[in-house]
Amino acid sequence: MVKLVVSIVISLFIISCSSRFNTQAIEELYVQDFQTTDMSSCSTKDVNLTHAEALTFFQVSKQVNSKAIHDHYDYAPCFVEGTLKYHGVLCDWNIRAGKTGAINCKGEELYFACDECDYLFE
Amino acid sequence: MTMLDSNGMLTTDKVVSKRFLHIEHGNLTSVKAIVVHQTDAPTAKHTFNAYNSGGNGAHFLIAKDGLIYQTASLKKRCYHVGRRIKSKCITVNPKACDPKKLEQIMKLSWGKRVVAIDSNERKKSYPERYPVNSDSVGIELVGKHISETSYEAVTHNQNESLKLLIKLLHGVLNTTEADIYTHPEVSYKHPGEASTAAW
Repeated sequence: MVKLVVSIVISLFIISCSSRFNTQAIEELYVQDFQTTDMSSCSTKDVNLTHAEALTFFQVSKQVNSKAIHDHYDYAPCFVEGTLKYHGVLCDWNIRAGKTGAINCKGEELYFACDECDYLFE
Repeated sequence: MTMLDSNGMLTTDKVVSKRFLHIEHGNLTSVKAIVVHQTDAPTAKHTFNAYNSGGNGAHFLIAKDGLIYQTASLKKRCYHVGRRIKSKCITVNPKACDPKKLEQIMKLSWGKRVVAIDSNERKKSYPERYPVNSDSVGIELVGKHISETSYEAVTHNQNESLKLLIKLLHGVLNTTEADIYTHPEVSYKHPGEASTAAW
């Protein structure tokens, strides 16, 4: 019962904080995989981030809504993905070669874009 | 017969005139193509609210019930294509690309390649390249982005209205079926956008 209450409280906390996700609170971020829908134009070398670089990406990025991604950023067909912990909750994340990223915590998708991360994608 | 009035608005009872001056950015002197989009918004009202603040937008919006709105003059440019266009020769006919230039571009990282391709493409004229804001009009279909791969399906009424609107525009702009594109064909956008649009 206690576990259930704690879980609900954490979920509500994450949802309520979704508009101001604190990337400094990210822990245990690991790159787990690479995916592409077009290997000829977007391959591993285009988004070859270490665990530390992926963490830096989110910490330097600004949080935006999906409309801003749609209107103002390039959608790259390849990305690295992995897991992280946010206030103890396991979340999935991905970073695309177009310098956009997403974090999904319990179904809540948050979007990020980095205007000063060129050095991570050289 | 549908015509354009002096303000660049269609004269037909099939299209509701709802012009937003804030999404118009300079003159559009020649229209050669039509780009089909999805709004990433759940209702037409959401998009109209965004249009009131200006910035990005398109010339037409088709609501989920199929109602067609003209939201900008066909004589004015809207920011609907995006900053960088893809390479039409790479996508459609790789043999038509300059092999030396292509080799140089393909050596670059994805981010730099996108910039180099755009720069190279903009030296060409339509239809050798994909359309840009200054030679195309945009049609937005109301529909929210759902996931990494999909958008809400375009409704039957929206697709029927899209067919009607494109037919009207062909008559007014002298465009043809070959001049209609979805947004992700032209620029680097979510592949689900307008993927269920049919005209």
